[in-house]
Amino acid sequence: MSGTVDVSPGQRERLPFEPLKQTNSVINEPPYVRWLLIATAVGFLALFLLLPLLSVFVEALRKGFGPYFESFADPETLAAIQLTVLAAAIAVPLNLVFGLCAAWAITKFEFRGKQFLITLIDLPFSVSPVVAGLIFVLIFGAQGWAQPFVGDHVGKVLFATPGIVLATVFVTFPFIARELIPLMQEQGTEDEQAALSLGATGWQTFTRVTLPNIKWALLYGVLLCNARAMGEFGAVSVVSGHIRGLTNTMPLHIEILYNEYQFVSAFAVASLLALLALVTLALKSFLEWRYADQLAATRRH
Amino acid sequence: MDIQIRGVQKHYGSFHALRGIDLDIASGELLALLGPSGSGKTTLLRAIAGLEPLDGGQVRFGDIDATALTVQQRQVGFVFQQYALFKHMTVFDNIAFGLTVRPKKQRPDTATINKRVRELLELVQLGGLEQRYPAQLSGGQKQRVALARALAIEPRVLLLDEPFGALDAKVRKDLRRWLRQLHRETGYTTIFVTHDQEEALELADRVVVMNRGVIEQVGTTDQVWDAPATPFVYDFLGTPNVLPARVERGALLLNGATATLATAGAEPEGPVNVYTRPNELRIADDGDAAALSGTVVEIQRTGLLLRLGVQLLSSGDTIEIELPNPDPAVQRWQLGDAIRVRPARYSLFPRKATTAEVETGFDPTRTVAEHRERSRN
Repeated sequence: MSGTVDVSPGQRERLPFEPLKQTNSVINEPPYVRWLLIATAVGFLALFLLLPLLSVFVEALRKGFGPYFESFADPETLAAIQLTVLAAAIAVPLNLVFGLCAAWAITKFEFRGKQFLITLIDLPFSVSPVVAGLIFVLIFGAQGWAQPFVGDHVGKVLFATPGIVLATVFVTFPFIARELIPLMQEQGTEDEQAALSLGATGWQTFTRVTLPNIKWALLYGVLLCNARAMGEFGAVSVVSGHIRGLTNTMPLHIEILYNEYQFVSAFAVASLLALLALVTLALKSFLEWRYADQLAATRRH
Repeated sequence: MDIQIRGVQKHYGSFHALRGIDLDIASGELLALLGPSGSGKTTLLRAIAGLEPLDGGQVRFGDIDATALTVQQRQVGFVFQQYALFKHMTVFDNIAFGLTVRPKKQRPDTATINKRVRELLELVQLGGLEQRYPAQLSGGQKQRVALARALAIEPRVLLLDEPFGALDAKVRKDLRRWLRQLHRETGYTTIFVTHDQEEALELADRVVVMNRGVIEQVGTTDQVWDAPATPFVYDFLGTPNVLPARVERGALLLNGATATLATAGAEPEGPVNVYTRPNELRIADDGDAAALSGTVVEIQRTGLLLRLGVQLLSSGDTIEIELPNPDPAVQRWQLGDAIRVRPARYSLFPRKATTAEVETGFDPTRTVAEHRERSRN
């Protein structure tokens, strides 16, 4: 496979000169209105987004760096971090495959029930996470219909790692598919048809033509999916059972620590999740800036 | 390789896109599929390539039944309207794609691929651009890369979908000439789709005129231009005047009984439409009994041509006549001048008689414009 395109169309199409800025344009508001509106927006952002984020780090570091890092030495905290990483490490690759397959099927083929499939993919977005968790309780719980099969042979699903992974997969299912569908729809099927007519097999067409065309949108979807997988609370809370050191993920562990007045530990773990969010945001912004034209069609221009 | 198409059928839901197409294409021929949008020309091209599964009929490449082959096995060079170049690959990798995806046993070694790609780049006059990406090429260059990529697999047949559709007029003209020359040099059987009659007539050996999923006429460019087989072909190749008339006892009566022309002899008796192009009408002498009288209502001079709108006295219809721009000393037409014209060349097509016509022998309600509308629909 060859290298990446080093000149993105977004940059290429820029005018050789920038149009002059019209500061006194008729569509401008008087200065005080502009400043008032800007101040309102910035104030709102600071109050509702920046302040909580800051307070997480302030609370976490209230007793200095020593206690902050000590809180990560707690075996239960470590177990929670491990479980979260494990759940994400299973859920994200699974949804990567599911999402790719679904987007591929929906955008490159015509078949009966396509609209129904699209609706199904959106289901986890529209269903409350708690309900999603309850679904698994109803299926795998003591009275659930799958208990006779699963309970005896595979071991426990509910209140164990498999349940947590299942709930995470369910909740994060739409992220990658939703990211890919608009882009692949816009790209159409001509590139694939060209590859096929040149003698490429289906797999060669996928790996050498389709995948390179969608790689940035795919990465973007993986990022969002991962952030949600690690941060999921509701659905996981219902199926976890809150067994310390065994079935507590990071968000659940934070709640427990907080309820036990271990504020430094609670905020220390929370700061990890916040950091994850910040890194995701930074990466996402970078991708949007660098590969804007190759990301989802809805964000074009 | 020669191609035979037999009874090809294709439906899209309730839309009948191809209604039993039969067509023979000789080896090495340059053939144009011409028609308006929705006529099925692109569908037929894609059916030959194997990109559209057929509902019936057969496509044969020489002795091979292509209908049984997959797209990959058919080995056709297909050039898409929007080129469909692989954006993330260089020009070189694009052209080499068809060779590099072959199974290991049939794949040429790197040196052979390099050599072949360089030859093709020279052929399409893009030497030196192999490391560019498609985004860095002009439309005409992209078109030629797409062509080179299709030629790389040594196709049985070269298929081009609206090859010049996305280019500006100047580039289009150059590319047309260049493609004709390329065809002469390489000798591939080539089929291209176009809605531009000029393009089809200029480029192709033979033209297939299609309309609503059927072939209206197949013939050399001279044949389809000089002897359009159906009103549709007449209408599609230019803007003819349509004059309602009758054939009675072997004579053509134009506009009631005011003008009589000798018919070619084979036409059926009854109501007909006379199709005649603006440049096939001549100014008639005063003594000419077959001439149509009218008034000049429009004068337009475009370079070498003088175009007159003539309102006929008999029906009130306005017809268009095109004359070589005459010597100003001979005749200067003014608006309102009386004029007599007669068709020097024309074709007759049967027409349904209306009740008014049955009673009076002439139908004043249908204008030329209406005729055009109807025959186009």
